[in-house]
Amino acid sequence: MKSSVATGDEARQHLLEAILENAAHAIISTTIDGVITSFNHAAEDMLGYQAEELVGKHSPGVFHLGEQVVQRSIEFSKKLNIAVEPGFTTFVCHNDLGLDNQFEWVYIRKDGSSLPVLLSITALNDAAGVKTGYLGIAQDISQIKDTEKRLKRSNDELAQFAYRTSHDLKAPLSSIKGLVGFIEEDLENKDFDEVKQNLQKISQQAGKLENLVVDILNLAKADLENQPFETINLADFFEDLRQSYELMLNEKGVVFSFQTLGCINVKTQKTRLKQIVGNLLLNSIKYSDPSKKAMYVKVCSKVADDFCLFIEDNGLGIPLEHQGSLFDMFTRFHPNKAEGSGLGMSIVQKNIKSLDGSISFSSSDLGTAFTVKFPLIEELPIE
Amino acid sequence: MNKFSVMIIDDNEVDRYLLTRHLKKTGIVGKIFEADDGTSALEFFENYQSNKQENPNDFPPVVLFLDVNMPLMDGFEFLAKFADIRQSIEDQSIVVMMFTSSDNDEEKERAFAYPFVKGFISKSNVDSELLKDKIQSIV
Repeated sequence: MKSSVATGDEARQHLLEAILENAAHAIISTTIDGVITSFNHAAEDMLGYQAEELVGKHSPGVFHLGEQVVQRSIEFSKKLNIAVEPGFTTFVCHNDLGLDNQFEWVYIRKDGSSLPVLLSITALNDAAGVKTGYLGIAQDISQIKDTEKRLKRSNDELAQFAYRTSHDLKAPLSSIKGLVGFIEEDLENKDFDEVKQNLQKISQQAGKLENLVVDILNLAKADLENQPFETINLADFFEDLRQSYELMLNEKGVVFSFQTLGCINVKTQKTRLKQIVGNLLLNSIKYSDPSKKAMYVKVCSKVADDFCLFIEDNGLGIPLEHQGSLFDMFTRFHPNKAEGSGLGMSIVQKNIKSLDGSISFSSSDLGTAFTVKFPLIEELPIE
Repeated sequence: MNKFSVMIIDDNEVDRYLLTRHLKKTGIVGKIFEADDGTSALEFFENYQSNKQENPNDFPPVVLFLDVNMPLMDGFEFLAKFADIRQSIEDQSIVVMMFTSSDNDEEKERAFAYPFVKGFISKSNVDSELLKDKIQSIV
């Protein structure tokens, strides 16, 4: 015990060094003028510089984003009501005024890449209380920033979704309410023709509402992942789809054909695949182009190294200027041609994503061709 | 008394029908022009002279009832473009009433930024008495 007391200073020194070298955060000390005096292991890893390249030679300014330092010097000057020069003063002006100093900064690595950090700076004082330098501790917050961005994006998406669904759900209800009012009036005046027409409109509005609710539920379902993988026969699958859409195909005069290349069986989540192909098919039928002689939609599957689906039509096509927002919710590009919730392609995309697949397309006024690719799901060994 | 001519800009056929019937019931509305999207409504005003000749008594409409949520060109895009056209046409008295199923404060603010937007009518809460009051208060 005595020996440890006798070597107390030395032990403290060892402890400090151990903390410095094992810390997960970059720890950098400087002189009062900003010359780096120590640069720990985490700082080397974070920034790609070796301690000996910087210690005694440079100021932390070498790994800061220059424009940001200038920007902050202007900000701090305003906020603190003093003239803050861009440079090392910008980093430590808060300390010199006795204020807390913790801000987010952008660091530039030796290789030129950048990363966001949360940097806390404290002043170092000697035993007599005289300032001898500064100590900066920087934490890599790129993951936090990424998560923040992702959260913000999904929040925005959710807000947009809530706004649009509440609008689109409310609109047909208001219409129905209004129509009922006039039906009552027309009944009193015995205008039965008008009543009949308005009843038909109510039925259409109710149908619209029903479709929207079904689509919203399908979109919500696309986020759930508890569906079993099963082996399906693609020819049967396409034939089932053809039957589901037979009425619409006949009504629009669109010819549906399918072809299976390679293996006819594939392992997938059937309900998801049905949502994907069903929605693409529905679009091909709804937005078929009567000005073309023989309207068609062709589906072809190819199961070899991966599972590919090709869906091709000679419909109206997706207007070039809107192709970038094809998968956005509530977007519709031929609103006068057919009814729809504007959710179909979002449903398609969500389902493809959860099957680890990808989708691409090309489209012009000659028609649209989609290519959907999924990785093959290996048969799991039976336990 | 002269009746006012108005215009309905709404992609929803049923909503146009409902508003038309309510407007007729007010007894103060004459000709009702209809457009099913912002683009055709703009064209209607761009062809000012020929429309004026065709409808000497009814053109231009005094009040535009404008839907907000429309595909291709929504109500706000229409307002921005209409503001320019309105400058160039001789009749500066055309006003707009938003006709919408949402009652979003942010939307109200955006719409009222245009001095010629004079009101908001909720699609779920419209009747001829209300319309009559609103029209009489602004024309």
